[in-house]
Parts: sequence; structure tokens; C-alpha cells
Amino acid sequence: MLFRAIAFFCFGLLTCSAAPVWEPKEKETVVLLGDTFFERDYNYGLIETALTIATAGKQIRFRNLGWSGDTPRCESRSYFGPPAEGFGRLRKQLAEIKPTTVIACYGGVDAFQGEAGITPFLKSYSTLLAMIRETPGVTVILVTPPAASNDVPRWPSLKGHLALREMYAIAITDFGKEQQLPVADLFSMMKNESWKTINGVTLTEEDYQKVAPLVAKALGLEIQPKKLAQPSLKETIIAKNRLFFQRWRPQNEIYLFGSRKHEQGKNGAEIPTFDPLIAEKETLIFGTFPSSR
Amino acid sequence: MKKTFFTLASLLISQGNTLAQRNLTEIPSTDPAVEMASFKLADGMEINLFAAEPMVQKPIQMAWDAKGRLWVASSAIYPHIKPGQTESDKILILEDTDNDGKADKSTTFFEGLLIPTGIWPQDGGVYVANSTELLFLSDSDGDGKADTRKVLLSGFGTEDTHHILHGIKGGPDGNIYFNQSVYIHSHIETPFGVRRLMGSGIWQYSPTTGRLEVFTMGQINPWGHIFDQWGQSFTTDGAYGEGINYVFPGATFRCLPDQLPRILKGLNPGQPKQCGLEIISGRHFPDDWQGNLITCDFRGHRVNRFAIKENGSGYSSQQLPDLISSNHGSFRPIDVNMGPDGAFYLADWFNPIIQHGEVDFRDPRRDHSNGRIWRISAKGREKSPRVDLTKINETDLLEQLKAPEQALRYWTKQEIKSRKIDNLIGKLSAFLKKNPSPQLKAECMWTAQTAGIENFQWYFSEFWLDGKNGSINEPHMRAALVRLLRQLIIQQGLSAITDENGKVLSPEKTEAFFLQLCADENPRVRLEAVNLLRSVASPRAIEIASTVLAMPMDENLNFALWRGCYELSSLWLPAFQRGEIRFANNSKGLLFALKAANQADAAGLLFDTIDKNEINETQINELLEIIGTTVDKKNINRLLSFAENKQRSATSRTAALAALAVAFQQQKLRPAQTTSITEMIADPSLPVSIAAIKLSGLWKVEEARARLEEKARGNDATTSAALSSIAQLGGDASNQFLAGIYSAPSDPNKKAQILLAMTELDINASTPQVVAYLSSALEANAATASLIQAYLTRNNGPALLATALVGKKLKAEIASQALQKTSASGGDTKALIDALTTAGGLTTVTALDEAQMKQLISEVQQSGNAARGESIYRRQSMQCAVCHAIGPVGGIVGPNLVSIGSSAPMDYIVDSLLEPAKKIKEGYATVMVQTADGASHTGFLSREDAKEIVIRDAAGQLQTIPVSSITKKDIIPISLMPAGLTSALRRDELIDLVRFLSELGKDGIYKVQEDGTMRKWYSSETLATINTIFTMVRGEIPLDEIKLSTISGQQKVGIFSYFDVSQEGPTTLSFSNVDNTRIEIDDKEITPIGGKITQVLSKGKHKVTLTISMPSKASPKVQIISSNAKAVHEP
Repeated sequence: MLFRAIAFFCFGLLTCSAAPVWEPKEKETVVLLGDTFFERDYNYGLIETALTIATAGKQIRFRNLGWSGDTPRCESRSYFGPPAEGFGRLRKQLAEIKPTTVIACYGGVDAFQGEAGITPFLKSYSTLLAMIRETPGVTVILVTPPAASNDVPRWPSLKGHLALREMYAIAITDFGKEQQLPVADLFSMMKNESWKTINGVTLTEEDYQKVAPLVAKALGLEIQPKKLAQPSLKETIIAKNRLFFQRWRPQNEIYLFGSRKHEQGKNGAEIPTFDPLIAEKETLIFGTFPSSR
Repeated sequence: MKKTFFTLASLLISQGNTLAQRNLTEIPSTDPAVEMASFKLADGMEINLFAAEPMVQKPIQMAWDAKGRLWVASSAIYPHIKPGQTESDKILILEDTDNDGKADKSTTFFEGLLIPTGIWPQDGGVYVANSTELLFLSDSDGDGKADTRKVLLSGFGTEDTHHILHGIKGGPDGNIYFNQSVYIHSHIETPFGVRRLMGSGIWQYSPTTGRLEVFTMGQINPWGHIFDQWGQSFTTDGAYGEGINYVFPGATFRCLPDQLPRILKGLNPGQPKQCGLEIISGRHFPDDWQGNLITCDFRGHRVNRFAIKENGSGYSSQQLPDLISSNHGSFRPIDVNMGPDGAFYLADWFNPIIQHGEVDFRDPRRDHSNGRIWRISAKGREKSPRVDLTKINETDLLEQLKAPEQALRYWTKQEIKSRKIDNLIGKLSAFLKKNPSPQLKAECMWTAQTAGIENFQWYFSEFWLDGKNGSINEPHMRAALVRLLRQLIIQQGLSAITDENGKVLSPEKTEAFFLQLCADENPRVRLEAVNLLRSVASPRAIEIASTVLAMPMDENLNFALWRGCYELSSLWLPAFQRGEIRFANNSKGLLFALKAANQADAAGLLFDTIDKNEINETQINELLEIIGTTVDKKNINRLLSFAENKQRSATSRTAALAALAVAFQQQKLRPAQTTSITEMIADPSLPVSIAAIKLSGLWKVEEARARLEEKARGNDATTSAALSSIAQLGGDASNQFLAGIYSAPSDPNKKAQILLAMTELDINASTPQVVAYLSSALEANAATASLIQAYLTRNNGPALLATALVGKKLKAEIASQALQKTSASGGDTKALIDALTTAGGLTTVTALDEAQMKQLISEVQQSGNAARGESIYRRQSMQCAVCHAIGPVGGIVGPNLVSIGSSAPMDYIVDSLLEPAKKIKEGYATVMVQTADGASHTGFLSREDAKEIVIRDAAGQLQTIPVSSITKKDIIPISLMPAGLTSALRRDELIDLVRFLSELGKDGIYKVQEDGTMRKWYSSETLATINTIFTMVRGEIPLDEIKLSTISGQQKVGIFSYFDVSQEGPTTLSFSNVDNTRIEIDDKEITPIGGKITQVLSKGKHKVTLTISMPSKASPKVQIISSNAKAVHEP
């Protein structure tokens, strides 16, 4: 039901879309990189389902590396060290995953720093981009931050916040031109809609149903309703995401790979055994659509 | 429920088999009846099984809801999900529909979680801590199963699954509180920006505004949290062992590694690990239990009880006899809760294995399927009446705010919130008019707060002034109100503060109000005021907060004020420099704030403060110490001028010289002119002279050489510093001088001092002489230790010494001393360890294989003698007590062993003794820091910030290392506990030692009882040396370990100890085994009657002295019986 709704919605919108921001190729590995906005979707699988449908038959593997509260400085990715440790962790993960495309969505967290935060934000973003570009042949796409709730009476602390997000979205768009990177302007597509949200800034699952096709659209993708097949696609994607989550952000890091690995580090051997399980789920996901060839 | 039939005989047999043997293969019986038969209960209590598997499995947290149903977070997956395993952990609801004290219905409300460690049913659903997320699960169609899964917050860390988000508790203020432990790093998106907590602490979350803030920081595993009737918070901890903690907004305890330079401590140091916390209230429990705090010693299979008492701005806590204890190896009480019938409920994790750091994730002995809820009730007392709040009218509902049961009052506030009552504050005001008790005022205030009312005007007019006579309200109520005002200000800013007519207060009036709060006669109101002002976060707020110093201060108040001055220094210090705030008529406040600020540009201000001559010498010396770390180029000459000024006292001048040394070591700063330092070497004050000698070496003042040589030739307190400074001056002159005096005859200690200087100058050239010295040394002493240490603190030192030792012989005790120091030092020391072992002819300890381990454990069980083991533990040569405490006394370098026997399997204990590096407790990881000058420091991380790292070394000493000088920092897989400590033991002695350790914390005589025993004693051998004596585990003083003195021709043992009286009044002490003993309190002889004495004592420290005529076989024991006094066990 849902997918039909998404597809219908997208189909309607896409009739007037411009040149595609992203031109997905066969068998790509795509990293979704960002903050809470991407992180929450690992559980809902809605953005990924929309993108999977929109790129049906291309057998694209998605890796959701969203981390709550993250910034281009990788502030959420460090454990015991400074943000630089998190930056290093991401670099290592990208080297392992070897993405062909990185879809990065930052700015929602930094918007709380106000207008004065834009310059340092972009500076840290360019450092991050330089690191991402160490991956040979990688394409980077910038996504402007999602909108927040405009219901200021309900969320008084968000007075003026939407305008700040818009400022960041514009800055990211200009920054993309400067960096010669495609920009998917999600913010502009969201700003005039109203969003239920959990707390004014974090979207609800219902909101994700609405925003997922907008992400596809912002990337310039078309969804062909006819190719929608089995309804368990989303569930398979979620199952794959949960396995992947335990692979890249496992619990008990301190014992598996951290300062107490001399005690229970032997259990770290279990972690790579998630890989064949993830691949199994991906075979099911790819099987949903006939190959485009 | 399944009934188990058994005869007494069969029970005794099975118990004997199961409980007497705690070896590695014997898993305790899973029969609830066997477990129940093992319980020992407090007088007047009885126990029954409320629920067991299959109705409940692996409970972690439990909580009752407004309808009297028990919600349980249950995890079979803990400690770690297997690849491909379904996330299938559950939320269960247990119901006792016929009110017979036993659950008769169990519903799985939700399945599909991953290690849920927190649960709180409220707001029409249930809050669940689920690894990275805080979930809200609800049942929209009323079928008893959750159909909506909402992620409220996400981004909580999962670095360790017994540290993850846990312990959800609803506060009386309507906020929800939850905790995380020390390895967790969380990053949460909120409408107020991202909130990050890197380490342990308690979060405060408002379900209405979505605001999430850090409430307190620190503790290692804050696993218990409860509120008292006035909304004050208490916590327990599963790792750092300080019993009950009093916590307040901004309170900070031990954290790792980013610790604040100042922290608070718990109320019962030396406690075992504890989990869960509940406060007794309600009609069912007898009066003497009311207000007691109950927590679980899950390692010791018992549930502890504490009585808390007001003490200044905080509390004191005294342990009472346990509520329940057991010797069943799987009884693991971890959560405690008052039920709707007024009885006490206990969640039993039921597992022979706990933790997953020490024991493998996949250890087959782990229990993944059982779990129990026990119900403890008071014999012969009526149950508390059960009230269905959803079915009563508004008037009756308000009446329930008077209920003696704290939980019932909580659910009443929640029910009122859910009814969205019109004109609630009007109704509460009318209700209060009829019922004007302070406790009810607090309840009504929180009722409004819970319902989201932010009307300052109403709170102020209703609760600040007492309606009857216009005087301000009762102190507990005032403190609760100030806490609420703080939250309103955080939410709305200062414009929240209005007068009784709703008009926003002018800044002047606001300040006058704050000043009034800081001068409140009640210390807790002042504490809340300082916390409030810290949240206001303005220069003027700090200035006002510092006026609290005009009233009596205590640890909490000092901390709260310090934290504000320290954290907000970048705010108030510039304002002070611009003259915007002046601390007028409050030099105490200025001094406090400047000391706390500890910032580079503070040095000049600190000097100005000293120059004003308004502060005493102790304060001056404290400031000089701070100046040492903060001084800049501009002010460095001022520091030297101060030291030169003979009008100043020798102590202050020495402090100034020490500060100059710190400034040089940390910042390479020194005055332009250094000639005066040569003069000061000849200063008549010995401390000034020594400090000057050290500085002349540090600064390489060549003009000082002649004077230094003169000092180096002598043999007094200045000699070793002078030798070291000559080495630092360097060059041929130093070389020749040192070689010359080394060849001249002198005593071995002087020779060692010279050698030490020679190693400083040229370690390569002097090594043959050092080895020759060590080879001919007769005993291991401080001199040999310092020479070995000289090699261990240099990067190439161990290798150098190892090579030089080839073919040489050392006395065994010297080799053994060197080995202990070497194995604790980290780095690559294998060659040196081998060389020392060979040179000393020592046998090395090897690990045991599985069969050997099994054999050893069976010998421990059959023939191990714990009493002999205790005396081995206490041997000077074993050094155990130097590093470890058992209960409240002992060393602080290693983990407290108070409950090691009840928590760790025997193989773990044996491994830890033979191969200390194999198992390292959390918080005890060893860090090795190398600095640019080639030195290396090893120890565990005490704290770390942007400026410095502080590590505690194997000797328990704190070493501060400036971050700027660090070239390398590693966590290394070694233990500070030296390997080889047990190498000197015979096999039978090792067996006895293991037996002793394995009994610690188990029910019996090796469980430390919190019975007021004075456990730390002193004996003075000479006027200068005071020895510390710790009592045996049972609390007795071993007289044979104390040196005899001859007093009036008779051999005697004289010992003394201290206790602290918190409130003036009659204080009772009890004395056992004190034949032939003269007893004094504060140097006045007393004679106990029936082993006891009661005296009215003033507040403060008092002394007990025992003089025992020898020979005596007695082992005296002294206990403090009264709750107004406590033994002093701190240094």
C-alpha cells in the first residue's frame, strides 16, 4: 500500500523534475552519511526503500552511516578520544566499504549555532569532503538539511530555527557549486509542508513516509510504479540495516576492539560473520526486481 | 504456578551439594524452593515468590504502573547479540489480579528489543531504554500488546552492554530520569540543540517540552536512583563502591577519563557494588523502616539497608543490617521496588555468572532463561490499601496526594496530568487552604509542574510565603521550590521571574531575591540557590553566588560554587577585569572564584590579591600554587621578587620557589635575572635552601656551582637535591666532581645518591657502577629502589640495565624488589625481567593449564584455610594491603576486594594472582605516557583535560603531566599489580590466600559488616613515624603486628584512631576484647560499662586511644554505635 502511495506521489512530482542530481550506475555501493535524519531511517527503511525502487534493477547496495547528532567534524563518531578519533573511524569505514557514491546530509545540527556557525561549518565540511574523496572514483552528493517543525507555539525553542536551516541550505547549495558537487535541495522541498515531528526537529515514522519520496525527487530520481513488487521489500531492507548496524556500530566495542580487548576481544571474530548475512538479505532485495539488462 | 514439593532432608542435601561447592562446574540449583530456603531475612520480615520462569525471564528493571501492574524489561540476549540472532527481548507485564501476593497473569507487551535495560510505564504507554534508543511503546487498540513503537530519542552509546541507557525513573517534578555508565558516549538531537554526554551520568528529560539535559555527571555504573519525599535524589553505583550518594543538579562524581579537577564523593566509602535503589514508605512497613534506602549487593547475594540523615546541605548515611542475604550462587538481586500493596519487591536476575568483562560473552554457564520476582512483606501487618486512581473523582484524587505511600502520590500526580483538569492551579490552591502541611505543599507544587504549568507568579505566591503568618515556608519546601525555579529559568530565562501580581521583576529586585536565597538560613536552600545561579550563567550570577561564602560552607556547597566559578570563568573573569563585577565587600568570594578559575590571565589578578594583604598565609600559599600553573611572561618576575622578599615567611617563599619550578617544567618560563637564586641556596631556612638548589639545577645557573658542590659534599637534607642539580648543570665539571666524590669513602646511602645524580648526567657511563652497587648491596631499601626507578623512567633504561646485569648476581630480595617495580612500569621490559630473574636466582611463575587449575581449585576447596590466608594477605612482603582495600580501609591503587569472593569465580582469582595482566577491572587500565624529556610515566588515568593528564602510579601517588610535554600516550595491556608477588609463596600458602580471597563478601566472617567498626588505627613508633594498621576483616586489631613500646618499664602497645561526630549529642562506643587496656577518649581515661560508654560529644573529630599491657592474646575491636558519629577512614 505504502509503496504504491510513495510511487504515485513521486510519479506525480517527477513529471516536472530537472536534470538528475544523481545518475546511479549498476551495482553501485552508496553510503548515506549524516546525522539523526539518516540514522533514524535505518529502522524505518523508508528512504532506502524509495531509493531502491527508484533505482530498481541496478542492484545498488546502500550503507546507512547516519549517526545521531553528527556534524562534518564527526563529533558523534568518536568514543574515548576527540572528534578526530571519529573522523578517523569514518575514514577507516569508508576504506572498507569503498563506496562509489556518498550522499551526505549535514547542517541540521550546526543550524543551532546560528548564522555565525556557517563559516566554520563549511570549513569542516570541506575537510570532510577531502577525506571522502580519498576513496578512488567516488561521487559525492550534498543534500541540504531537512526542515523542522514550523509549530513554534508547540516548540518555542525553535523560534527562528527554520530560517536558520534555510540559511544553511542556501550556503550548502553555494558551497556545492564552489566544490563542483551536485546538490539535492531537500530543504526547499520540505519547507512549505508541515511536519508532525517527535520533538520539533526529529521526524516521526509518518513524516519519513512523506519525506522518503522527496529525497528521491531531490536526487532527481524517477520511480516507475510498475516495478513495485513484493510488499516485504521494506521489511527486508530493515532486516538488512539492523544486521549492518551490528556490523559497523557493534555493541560492546570496548571489549571487542577497544581498550579491554585483552579480555573479551576474541569475540570480535564474530563481527565479520555478519557480512554473509547482510549479503543474503541483499540478494533478496535485488531479487525483488528483474535486472535492468 | 508450578509447585515444588520437597522434604527438608532433600533440601538440606541439595543445598549442601550446591552451595558448599563454588567450583567452576557446579551450577546452583534452578529450583525456586532451593533458592528460597537459602534466604536469611531481617527480623519481622517474610518472603514469598511473586513470579518465576516461565512467567518472567531475566528481569533487568521493573516498575509498577498506576493500575498496580508490574512491568518488567527482560533480556535473554545479554551480553551480546549473536550474528543472525533475532532481536527478541521483551517487555512483560505481571499482574496479581486476586491480590494474594503472587502474580497470576503474565503478558508479553512487546517482543523485538535488544537488551532493554530501562522501563517506565506512564503517559498511556511505556518508556523503554533499548540500547541506542529511548522508545515509547503503546497499545492503541487495547488488546494488551504494543502496536506503536515510537523512537523518542536516539544516539545513546552502546560501548558496553552493562553501561547502556538504563534505570528509568519518574521524578516527582514530572521529569523522567535515566542513566548511562562510564563507557557510554551519547549524542542526542533535541529541539534545544544536540545534547552530548561523554561518559557516565544521569539525564533529565521532560516529556512535555522535549528538553533533555544532563542532570549529574560521573560515577562508574550509576545503577540506582531514587527521590525522597522532598524530591532530593540519591544514587547507588555498581563499580565505584561508595554506597549511597547524594546527588543534585550539576553534581559530579568520579568520571573516566575527563574528570573535573574537583569531584564529590559517596556517603559510604568502601561499600561493595550496588544496583537499584528504593526508599521505604507507606502503611505496610513499620515506622523504623520509613525513609530507609534499600539497594542490592548483587555480588554478595544480599540486599542492603541504609538510614539517611540530614547533614548540612547534604546527608549522612548509615548502614543497617541487611534486608535479605543468601548463599545461593545464582541469587542476584538487581532491582527493588515498593509495590501497590505496600510490600517490597525484588528483581532477581538469577545467574551464577554476572558481568561480561571478566567472563566470556559466550560462557556456557550463563543463565539466559530464568529469573524471579520476590515479594518481601512485614509479618502480621496489613497491606497498604490498593486504589484504582482511574476510577475516583477529582476530589478523592486530590486526597490521594496525602497518601503515606510515595508511589501512590506519584501516580496521583500523573493521573491528574492525564485528566487535563481545568483551572488546576485554582483547585490546588483551594485544596491547600484546607490542608496546609509543607509535605502537601510540595506535592501540589509538583502536581502543577507535572501538568506542565510554568506560572512563576502562582508558584511564588503559593509556596514561598507561608499562607498563615507571612513568614517564609518550611526549609525542605523552600529548597524544592528553588529547584523548580531553576527549571523555569532554564526554560524561560530570567523573565520567568515575576512578582505576586505577575509583573516581571526588575533586575535589581531579581538580584535582591537571589541574594536572599544565598543567605538563607538553611544550607540546602543555599545549595539549590547556587545551582540555580550557575544555570543563570552570567558574571553577576557568579558574583551573587559567591556571597554564599558568608554562611557556613560544606563539601556540596563548595563543589556547587566551585563548578560555577570554574566552568564560567571565561564569562565572569573578563567581566571582572573590565570592572563590571567587583566582588565588593566579598574578598572571600573573589579569592574562591579566582582559585577556581585557574586560567592563564588570572596570575596578575592573583598577585594583586596577594599584594592587598587582605588574605592569610595559608590562602597566599594556595594562590602561589595556582600561580605556578597559570603564570605568564608578564608576571614571572613578580614570582621571583616574592621569593626574594625576606619580609615574607619561609613557607610562602618556598611556595613561590616551587611555583617557579612548576612554571619552568610546564611552560619553560623563567625570570630574566636568576642571580638571586645562588644567594638563596645559603638561606637560613632549609626548605627555601632546598627549593633554591632545585631551581638552580632546573635553570642551569652556572654561578651556583660552587655553592651546590659545597652542599653536595655534606650529608644533610640538601645533599641529594644538590647532587641532582649538579648533574643538571652538566658538562665535564659535573662529571669530574661526581666521579671524585663517588670514589671518596661515604655510607651506602650517600653513594646511592651520588650514583643517582650520575645516572641523570650520563646513564650509559654510570651503569656499570650502578650494577656494582646493586650487586654488593645487602638489603632492598629506598636507596636500591630509587636506583632501579631511575632506569624504569627512561626510555632506554630497562634495556641498558638488562645488558649490564648479564653474568652478575643480585641478592634475591633486591632482584625481587626490582622485578616488582619493573613489571608495574609498562613498556618493553621483558629483557630486564629475564635478567633480574637470572641475576637473583628467582623462579618464575607460570600460568596454570586447565588440569592444574582444576587441581589447585579442588585443593583450595578441600584444605584452604582462610584465616591463615588472611595473615598471608597482611604480610608486609606481599604488599596486598598497600594497593587494595577490603571494605572502607586499605590502598586505593587497585580494586577494592570487599566482595571479590562472592563475585569472581575462583579461576579468576587464581589467574589474577598469577598473571595480573590477564584480567583488568574497568577503571584500572594502565596508561603509559612518554614525555619529550625522555621520561615515561605509568599508572592508571586519574583525570585528563586539555592542559594536563593526572595518573596514579603503582605507589598510589598522583603524577601530573602537562599535555604539551607528552610525545606518546598508550593504554597498555599490563596491570599495575606486579607479576611475581606470589612467587615467594609455598603452594600451601597460595592455596590459603586464594581461600581467603574467595571467602571475601560471602555470607560468613569474611563479609565486611558495616557495624560502625573503627577499622583504621595508628601507632607511633617515634615522634616522626606513624604507622597505619588496618583491622582484620572481622574488625579486630592484630596486636602481634604492632611494635611494642616500653612505658614505665612495661611492654605495651599504644594505638589510636579517630571518629567524626556530625551532630553534637550522646555518642556510644562499644569495646570488645579490651582486657588490660587503658582506654581514652580525647586523651581522658574512660571505663566502659558492659563494654559500652556513652558521652556527650561536640561536633567534629575525636580520638580514641588504647594502651594494652603486653603480653596479651586479645584482639581488640571498637565500634561506634550511635548514628551521629562515624569512624574516620579517610587519610
